[in-house]
Amino acid sequence: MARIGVFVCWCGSNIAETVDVAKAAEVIAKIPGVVLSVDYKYMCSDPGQEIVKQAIKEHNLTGVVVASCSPRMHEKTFRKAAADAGMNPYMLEMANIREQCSWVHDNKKDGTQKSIDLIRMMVEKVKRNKPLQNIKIPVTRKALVIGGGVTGIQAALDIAAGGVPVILLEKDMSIGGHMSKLDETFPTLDCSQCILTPKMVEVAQNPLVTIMTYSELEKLEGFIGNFKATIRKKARYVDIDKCTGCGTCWQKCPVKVPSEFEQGLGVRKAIYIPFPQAVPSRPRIDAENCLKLKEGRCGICAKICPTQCISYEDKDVLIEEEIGAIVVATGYQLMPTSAFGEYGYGKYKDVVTSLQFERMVCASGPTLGDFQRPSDGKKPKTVVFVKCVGSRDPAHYYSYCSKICCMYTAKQTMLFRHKVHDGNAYVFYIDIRSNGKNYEEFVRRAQEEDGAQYIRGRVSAVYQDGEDLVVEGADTLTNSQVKIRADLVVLATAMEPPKGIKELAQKLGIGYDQFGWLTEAHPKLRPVESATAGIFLAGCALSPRDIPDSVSEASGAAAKVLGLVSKDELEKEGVVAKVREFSCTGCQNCIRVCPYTAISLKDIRDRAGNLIRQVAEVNPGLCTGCGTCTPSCPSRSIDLQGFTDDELYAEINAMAELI
Amino acid sequence: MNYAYYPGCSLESTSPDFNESTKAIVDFLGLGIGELPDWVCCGASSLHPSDKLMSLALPSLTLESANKEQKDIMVQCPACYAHLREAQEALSHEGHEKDDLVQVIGRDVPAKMKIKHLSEILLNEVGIPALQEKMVKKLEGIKIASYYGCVIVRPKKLMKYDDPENPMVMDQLVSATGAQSIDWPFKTKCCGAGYSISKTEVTLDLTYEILSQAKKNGAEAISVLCPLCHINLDLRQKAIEQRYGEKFNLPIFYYTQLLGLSFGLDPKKLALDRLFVNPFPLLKSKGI
Repeated sequence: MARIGVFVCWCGSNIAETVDVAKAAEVIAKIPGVVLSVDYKYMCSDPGQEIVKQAIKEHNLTGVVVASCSPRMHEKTFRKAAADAGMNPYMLEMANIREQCSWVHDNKKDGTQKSIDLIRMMVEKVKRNKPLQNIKIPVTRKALVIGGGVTGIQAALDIAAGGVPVILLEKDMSIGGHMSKLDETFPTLDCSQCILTPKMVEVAQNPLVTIMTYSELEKLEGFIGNFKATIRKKARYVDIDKCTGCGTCWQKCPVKVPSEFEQGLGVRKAIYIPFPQAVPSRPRIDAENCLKLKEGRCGICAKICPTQCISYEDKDVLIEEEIGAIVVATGYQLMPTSAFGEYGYGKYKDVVTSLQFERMVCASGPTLGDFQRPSDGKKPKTVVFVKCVGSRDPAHYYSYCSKICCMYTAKQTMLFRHKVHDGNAYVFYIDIRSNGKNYEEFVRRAQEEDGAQYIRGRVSAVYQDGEDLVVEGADTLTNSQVKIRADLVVLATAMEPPKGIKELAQKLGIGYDQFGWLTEAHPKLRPVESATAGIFLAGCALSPRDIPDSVSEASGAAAKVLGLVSKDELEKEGVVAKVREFSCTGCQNCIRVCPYTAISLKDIRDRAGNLIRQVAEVNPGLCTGCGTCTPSCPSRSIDLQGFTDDELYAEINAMAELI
Repeated sequence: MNYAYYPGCSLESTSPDFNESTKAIVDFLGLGIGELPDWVCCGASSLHPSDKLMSLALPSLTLESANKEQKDIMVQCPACYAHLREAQEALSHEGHEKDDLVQVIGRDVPAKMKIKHLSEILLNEVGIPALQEKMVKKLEGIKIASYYGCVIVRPKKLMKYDDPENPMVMDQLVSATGAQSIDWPFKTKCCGAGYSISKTEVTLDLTYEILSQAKKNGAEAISVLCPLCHINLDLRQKAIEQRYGEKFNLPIFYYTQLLGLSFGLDPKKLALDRLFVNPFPLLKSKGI
């Protein structure tokens, strides 16, 4: 027989002003099974909690209802008090008579009646509650960072600084990401290589960091604290442990291909390192262009390699790693410019992307920083910068703002003027968005000191006229048409999620939006967490961001990882789904609806080991207790513990005064 | 192929040369495309900014005629093409626009027929090899800029004609005749269209640039597929030359006339004598 204790709180005047607490306690005392019903001014105070503890012991209570504020406020407090008094904490429930009653009503009679109803519901629930145990999950003290750009590098460094081993996974052959391609960075104009290269070296030398380049995540199994990652090390045809990076091979290789790192403006060999500061400074063979791998001839690199580290028979290798937590820092790519026929990209050599412009002015670029236009090597005197190419254009491309283009375009006008002192820079813009520390001042400087001319409006067409490009557009401030003869046109093309991101997100079991940007658990309060426990997000994987934001998020995600792996075991509430195996038909409805992939099929076998049938099984480590599965079950064989059908129907019946 | 020809008002009135050359090559090729009975004006450029519903209702009646005849529609004027397609879109999607339309017409009009420009039909359904089989004259040595104008390609989602920045349909037809189709950047620039009458100087400015670009890129003639473009480039060419003090002397052909020439049709039947910029000296100089 249930022995329930009910404790009605005044919350000072917060509740007592609208609810006759003494009357509520009196009415509730008459419910069968309620052995004690009292009221007190502040239940959450130490003396208040003491009343609950004493009552549990003295009256040998089997269940407790505290009628006070929202369980979000004090459920933990009271459940701990109950546990201190020797009661299973899940046998204590709260009736919310403050936020859902006294605060939203002003009529005391009705308020009192409503609070009685609410308490009665919880009394009926608690009568049916079952003791639950918290779930303990072991934690692997190792992290995986996916993406070796500045965000991933920072996350790996911060995790390692906390003493936790970390794998830094990069799909390309060197870490460094887009930042390694930039010339100088806003708003301080410090050289990108100069600030990034030390970090690349630092992460490479850190004994806790294992860098895996030219490798991708193949498969992920498991759950928070207990992931098992399968990593595909793609065939590189070079043993990077034996290789010393001497460079003989790429000097002698006869094949020349446009360099991806140089955005097609320079050339590389078929065996190559992408850029001199690459980490690791080890080459790979590009199988599509290597004469040996394509046609079986040449083979010069293997012949001359002093350490015999080249193998044309190299194959992809799969490696399994136990991982406790994951940071996804997969970054972005620039939108393919083939979409913009009106700007003549691909048709006119002197229409370039902003990233190509970076390589054109960079001291380590294909022209070693000598500013030349691609078509004829002439030094451009007039450059037109077009912003929002593909961004803020829901009719054709992306509705979002790519965020960094306003700032880097201002920077590029400066870099241009620093190379060509009497040059003219024109910028077509929709709005100037410069809302970061020292950003507005930076844009002003571009306009006032470096003479960039800003034109508010869009460009309608770019075409070749003789040696010049003609840029036609609108100036919406003067309501006139503009025509500029330019030597070079720079397109600030939209940032978009990198190719393959949706497949990766599906492997990880994390969400993404309509574009493919990864989705945070809460846009404001949980910005670096995915909805899947143990998987964190940082940088441009979420949406366009600048370097400071990406690096801050990397540190934020690293702090989350360190918090997670700081304990040997994770403890989580026992409110998880459970399957009644005897009635489960194995229809898999629950498996299909579970947003956390927490349910799978389990074999039921007889003693001889013959398969009898399959039933659903919940992994309590992955289950968040969301309850999506329970209504999907046609045989009512899956139930959320702590919120079972039995318990909830009792509440509803009590509300309808059917009990 | 099961098309009926919708000439529209322009081809009946201001551009009989386009109409005549169209009928001449359609007949010559034996495509069996007769004129659609009971066709109605599409509303042209004046109705859609003033009365949206009416601008959908008029072409809907033409679609209804096509239904009665169980025909797909072949069009030549890009504005007609746009309005017929707009009506088709409106009739194909449930919603307020369709409800209003059905109410004003008094009945629902199923709009599943194909609506195609003759240039598309010739390129995609007849095909270049079949066309070339019938060609008796090579228009070799003549450099032609294909000028599509702005309407036929835009908006892309509605017109579904070709790449709005660099269409190639007419270029391919022109090349098939043996003429040299030049690459130039103003294929889909606006010619000034309706400003031809209300603000003539705007049209003159725009067409001047089109003619200059064509000439700069080596064109000796221009091929068009829009009656309004034709008027602005051909009829107004003398005025443009006077305004800017520059001689162009660029004959403006309809693509149908060029095809007709290569089929060996009588220039009179192709209405070449109706052009304002006399094309015969150029044709003669090329031995055509």
